[in-house]
Amino acid sequence: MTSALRSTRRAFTLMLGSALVGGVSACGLSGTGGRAITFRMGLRTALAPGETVPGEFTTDTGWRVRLSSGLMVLGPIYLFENASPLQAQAAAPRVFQRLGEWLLPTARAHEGDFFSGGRVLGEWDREVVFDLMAGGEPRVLGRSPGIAGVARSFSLLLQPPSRALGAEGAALQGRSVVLEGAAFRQEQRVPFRVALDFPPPLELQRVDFVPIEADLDDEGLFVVEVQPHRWFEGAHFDRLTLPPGGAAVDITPETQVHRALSVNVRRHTAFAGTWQPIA
Amino acid sequence: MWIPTLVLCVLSATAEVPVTPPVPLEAPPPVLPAHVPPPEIPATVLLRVTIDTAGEVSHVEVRQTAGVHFDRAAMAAAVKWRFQPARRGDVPIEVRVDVPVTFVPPVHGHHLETVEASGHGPPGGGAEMEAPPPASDAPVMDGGTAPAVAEAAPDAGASGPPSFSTTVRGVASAPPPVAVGDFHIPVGQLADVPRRSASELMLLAPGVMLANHGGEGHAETIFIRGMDAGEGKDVELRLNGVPLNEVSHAHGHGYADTYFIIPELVESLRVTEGPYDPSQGDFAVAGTVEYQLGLARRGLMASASYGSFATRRLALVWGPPEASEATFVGLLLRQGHGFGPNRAHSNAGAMAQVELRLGDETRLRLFGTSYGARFSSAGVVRETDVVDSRLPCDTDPDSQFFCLYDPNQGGASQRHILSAELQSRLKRGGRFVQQGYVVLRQTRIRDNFTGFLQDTPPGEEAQRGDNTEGYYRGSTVGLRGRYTPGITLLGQPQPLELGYVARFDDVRTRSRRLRDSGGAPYTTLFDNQVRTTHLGAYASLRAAPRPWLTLRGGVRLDTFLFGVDDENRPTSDRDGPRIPEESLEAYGFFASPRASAEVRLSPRLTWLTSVGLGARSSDAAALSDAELAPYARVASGETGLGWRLEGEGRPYTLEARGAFFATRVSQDFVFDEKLGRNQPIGASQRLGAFISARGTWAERLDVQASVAWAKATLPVPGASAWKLWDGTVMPYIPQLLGRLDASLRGTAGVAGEQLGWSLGLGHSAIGPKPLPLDRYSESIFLFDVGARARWKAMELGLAVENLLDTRWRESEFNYVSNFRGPDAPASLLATRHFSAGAPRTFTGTLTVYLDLQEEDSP
Repeated sequence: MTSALRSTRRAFTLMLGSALVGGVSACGLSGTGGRAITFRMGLRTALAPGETVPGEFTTDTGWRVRLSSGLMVLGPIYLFENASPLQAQAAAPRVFQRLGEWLLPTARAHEGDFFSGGRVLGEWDREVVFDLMAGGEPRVLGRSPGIAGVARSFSLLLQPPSRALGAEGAALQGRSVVLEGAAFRQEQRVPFRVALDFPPPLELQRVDFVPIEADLDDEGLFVVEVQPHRWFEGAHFDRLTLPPGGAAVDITPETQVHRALSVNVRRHTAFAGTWQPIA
Repeated sequence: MWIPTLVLCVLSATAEVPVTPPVPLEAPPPVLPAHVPPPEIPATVLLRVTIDTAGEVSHVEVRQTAGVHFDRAAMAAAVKWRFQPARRGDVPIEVRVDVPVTFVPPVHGHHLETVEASGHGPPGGGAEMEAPPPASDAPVMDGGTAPAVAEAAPDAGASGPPSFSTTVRGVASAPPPVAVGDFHIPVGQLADVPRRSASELMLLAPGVMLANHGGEGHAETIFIRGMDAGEGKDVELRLNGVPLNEVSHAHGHGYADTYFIIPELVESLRVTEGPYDPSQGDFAVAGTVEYQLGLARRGLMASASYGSFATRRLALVWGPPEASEATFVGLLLRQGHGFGPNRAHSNAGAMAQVELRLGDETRLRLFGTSYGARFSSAGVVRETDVVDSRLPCDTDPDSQFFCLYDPNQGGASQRHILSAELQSRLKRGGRFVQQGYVVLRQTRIRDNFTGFLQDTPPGEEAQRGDNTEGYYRGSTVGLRGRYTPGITLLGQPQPLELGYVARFDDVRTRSRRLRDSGGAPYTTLFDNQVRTTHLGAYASLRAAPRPWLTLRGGVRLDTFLFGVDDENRPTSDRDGPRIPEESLEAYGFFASPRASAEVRLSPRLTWLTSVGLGARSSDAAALSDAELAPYARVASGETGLGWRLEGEGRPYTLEARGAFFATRVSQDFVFDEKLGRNQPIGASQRLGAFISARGTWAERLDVQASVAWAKATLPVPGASAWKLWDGTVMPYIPQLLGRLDASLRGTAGVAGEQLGWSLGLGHSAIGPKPLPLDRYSESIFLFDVGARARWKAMELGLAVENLLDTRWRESEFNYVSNFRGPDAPASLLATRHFSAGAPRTFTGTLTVYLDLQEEDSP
């Protein structure tokens, strides 16, 4: 097609299109409801309360943990409009809420996931390999389509790295999370290595119910905060058998620490989310 | 469909002084209003006409009546006659003559009929008079061809009483419109406009848009009057009276394919937008489209076409010159690679009809068609993948736009129809029509709308894919008929029409998921053996309490009995093992009144208001045992004006219409990507308006244009039914539609030879479609042009469709999908998907006409 013809065609289409759009939009938006937006998705490692360095924290069992390296693969990330059922209900005092749940527990008569997050308002539909030790500003993953509105919960998947991640994923050697560090309590020092796997089914890969309050809009930044300081809750490093010579202990699946990690990483407390509207 | 024969015998008085009788100069024939059926036996009105000294008719009175409508028509014509005045010697004189005007019944339906002249007086010796074109007393909205005068042979012998006769050959006028949106559309010269299939003829009606997401041979999605009528769920489709909608089709209840119709054989369409005619039956929620077949050009026509993307088309159409237009044979073969990957198609069809006369009063039409097709489909693609060039094709924008995910999409279709229609004329204008038909049908359609999202694989297997196979095999037998008694009520001849339908469908309908690898079925979504009996009857009554007012009203009753054998039940339940089959029956009943009022504001201008209830039957797949089967009910109303100008010596005809309408549907359906078929969503409503116009000029120019606006919303729960403008706008339904069809024909002398030529233009303007999240799509403007030149029996043609090579989205959806693969994390955010529309295509055609009659021209 010649450029002249192309120009003529464009001009013609533009003219007629403008007329029609003008005619229609004179009555306002299309009225189908909702508003499309584009926002940014980011990741960072949250600092434990009172800490200034990522990967350093004290567990509820009294162990001081200092991670030397940490890699994980996570994603996709979904932002839902419905609130997490685990979110505290401000309207009802906690004691009455617990009493009510005890007297009238939530019915879970059907199989599968009982949490309906409602409409998905935003997502990052890819996996990403994340370095837990990278501090500073959030790592922006990219721009993502979404729907304007308040997102009240999010979920993400923890899966083995796929081939699509290439060399970055290969560093994980097929594992979902790889951590190295040391735990200290009084005179005890436990250097450790641990790798976590999250094979199918999907229900065992999904982290649900993470409460957020994000008023999604154009060009804002939603940051998923990884909270490794919540992962080691209830971990008893003293139950590990240390190898001779002070070498790092491989935390295997049959250990209490591994079980605690596996459960905690999938809990809604393992992650958090913040929304940063465009400045 | 009436053929009036006017025989005027002008008698002069004898006197001693030589008297020269009046000589007719202009004598337009009488025309019956379109709502008056033609007489079934000759009806003669005897007029006493006073011709003054200027040759004008100064007074007319009826001396012998044939009924009020015939009397009025004859008188209306008589006052337009002009004569050379009678003379005594050289002096003009006023004379009174008695003139019998005879209305002769049509000998057969819609077709041109030769009637022997019934001249009075001795032949020869009279002055010749060219009869003028037909009068323009036809209703302004009949949409049909008014009766035409073919010849006139005045006959005024000097020795006998002067007389002349006018023989009228009639072309059927269309049935009277029941609403402004009731269009009888003769294809005529607009056949010159390039069209991919007979389905696109529906675009001749205002407010119609077609979209196809399934390939060349897949039924079109029809948007009409602001309704997404799916592939037939909300629009009743008929071919020569045979219903095409298929009950409980696996791809959607009411699925109807018109691609198989041979375009060269389509004589006209009747498009009734809205449920206003009691004869409209099941699925007529948005309206009814009826194709009428006929072959005006007699002889043999063979055409071969070749075009872009290796498109080949071979058509053979034959109509014996000795037989009427209702007798024909047509064959059509089409093949092509398609305009992108995985779009190949090939199909063949045959259609034949013969009309037999069984005596003077009865004729029998036998019609049959066979069709087989196979097609591949590219399906839909995610907009985000096209923008990011992630589709498995070259990365340039065009390759991405026309690319696909799943090559195991497409389908196959077979259809066979046999029909016999018996039409009988009864006494005093009565009429009895009976039709019986058999339809055999089989389709298999494979679509993949979601990739890898719907499967829940057992154990730790990866998802097997969402390709969905809809399989349908059905047999239909049916009867339909109508009876117009030859009675006169309150001066209204044949005011009553009674009709009935009886239809039985025996259908196997099944939907399965197919593995992405190899295409083997791995799970069954439903598998039903459905037997449906549909019985319906209607009665309509017409009255004209005032000369300017015609009222029509009727009621229709429909009943359905559904018998379903569900063959996809579990093999065990909580009580233990069981047989995986189950039977159920359901019954439904619906009454739908319809009425209209027509006010004649002037001879050319009519105001017509119509209201009606309609219904769509239940999809048997969704019924429970002993259920009183629910119907989707539609209430619709419209009011508007129609104007028509023709005749009176004009070589042109102009017609224009415009109306406002409102519609509310109790249970609408929208496309469900998970099942690949339409699913219920609750009530919906529409407001809209349209304007259309058509002008023809002496078989040289034919132009039709229309603009339509409609707003479709889902009403707010609990809101008043009168708040038709409130609610969430339904996405994807175009709000503004424009269409232009034009054809120009002529002749030119080249090297001493006469060449016939024609130019055709089709233009579709699709305004911004509402999209989810308060967005609009881009407008679409498509231009199709065609040119043909004919020399003797040879004709060469070139057609260019999508002249500007616009990249346009034929259909669009918004939902969640995962086409990244079975192992990839799924997207849960609804995003836009679309199927690409065809790019610019060129098609060259060579046509040979054999056994043509001399008057046939290109």
